[in-house]
Amino acid sequence: MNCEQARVAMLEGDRSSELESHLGGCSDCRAEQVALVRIRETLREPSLWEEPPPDLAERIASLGRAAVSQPRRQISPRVFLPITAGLGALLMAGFLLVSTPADWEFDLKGVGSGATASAFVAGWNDAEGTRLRIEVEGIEPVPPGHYYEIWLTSVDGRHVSAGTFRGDGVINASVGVRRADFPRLWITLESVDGDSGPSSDTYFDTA
Amino acid sequence: MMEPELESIRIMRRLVSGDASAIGPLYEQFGRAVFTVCYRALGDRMLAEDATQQAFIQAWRAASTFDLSREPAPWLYAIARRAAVDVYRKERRHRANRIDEPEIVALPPSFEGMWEAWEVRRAIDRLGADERQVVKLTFLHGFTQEETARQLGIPLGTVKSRAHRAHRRLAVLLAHLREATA
Repeated sequence: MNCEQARVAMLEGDRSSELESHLGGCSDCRAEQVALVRIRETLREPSLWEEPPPDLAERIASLGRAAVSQPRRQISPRVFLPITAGLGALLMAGFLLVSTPADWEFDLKGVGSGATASAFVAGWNDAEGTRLRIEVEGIEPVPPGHYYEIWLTSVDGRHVSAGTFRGDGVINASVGVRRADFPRLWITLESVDGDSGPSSDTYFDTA
Repeated sequence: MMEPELESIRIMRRLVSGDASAIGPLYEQFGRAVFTVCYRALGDRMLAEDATQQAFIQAWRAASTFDLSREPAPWLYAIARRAAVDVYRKERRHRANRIDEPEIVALPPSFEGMWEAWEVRRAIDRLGADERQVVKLTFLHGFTQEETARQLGIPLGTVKSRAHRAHRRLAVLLAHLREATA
């Protein structure tokens, strides 16, 4: 049994001794076992097989026809209100989850490739530096070999990394510099290439 | 038929250039995946339809900022997830006002694993109809291969070969999910 056959066998739920023997000697396939089990579980979810109603395609196509007469980048109240209310909910979440009120907080707008994303940042100044809590929504999942990195940058252009993450969610970070000295907070997409500096692929930026 | 990736890029070029009629083809490419993740997260067909519509409206509005050197799928997924979050929070607020519940501030577990569900759904949609039918009966309904053969009225050997072909294709199409976890 080779690796390709072993992966197919795992996806099929095979429990043969031939597969066990292959896994015993192949660390690559053992490493993929968890992911393949999760894929099998996902395939069993009824929602995954749910079909949209046939008329939804026509409804969306007609929205497209109507959109021709509307200017772009103008968010309707119907879409805008849930977003602002969602940010209000994030504020509430930050307040409930962190017992000490933040020293500062702000909405961080997506830029460039992150233009459709948003984030809410809360920060605490402490003796060691700065604690951050960032709630990110609407950012693309990172492609393989990549990660998002949070940066603080001083007025004279020195960068300090405040941590990395892979997609939407809450990121708690602690960094050994004061925000007063490193006022710019930004997030970039980085590749695993050995370069420890920020890339030019910026998703969020206070600058 | 054009490869889905090439077709997606062609559609995105049209959207970026301001061709709103490309929303229909964009739905043809991604509509099932958008609906699936919205339904999975929200657990309600009507809400999922609302979120799906919002996602495509938002995609149209944001298309002018789309970077054509990137893949459209993660971009549209991010928009779909956000539309589902918006619909969820709006619905909870509506219910909270009606029955005096406290404001819900966290997303439920159904919002976890959405990217994986998106990718698996897209992979399923790329199987042939015969293969998809066999995979559905075995995974969703828990049929054995013998039961699947009886249900479809086809020989057991045909079920086995279709299942094996489908699993081999799924393993290839979802290789990036395995690599991300490994």
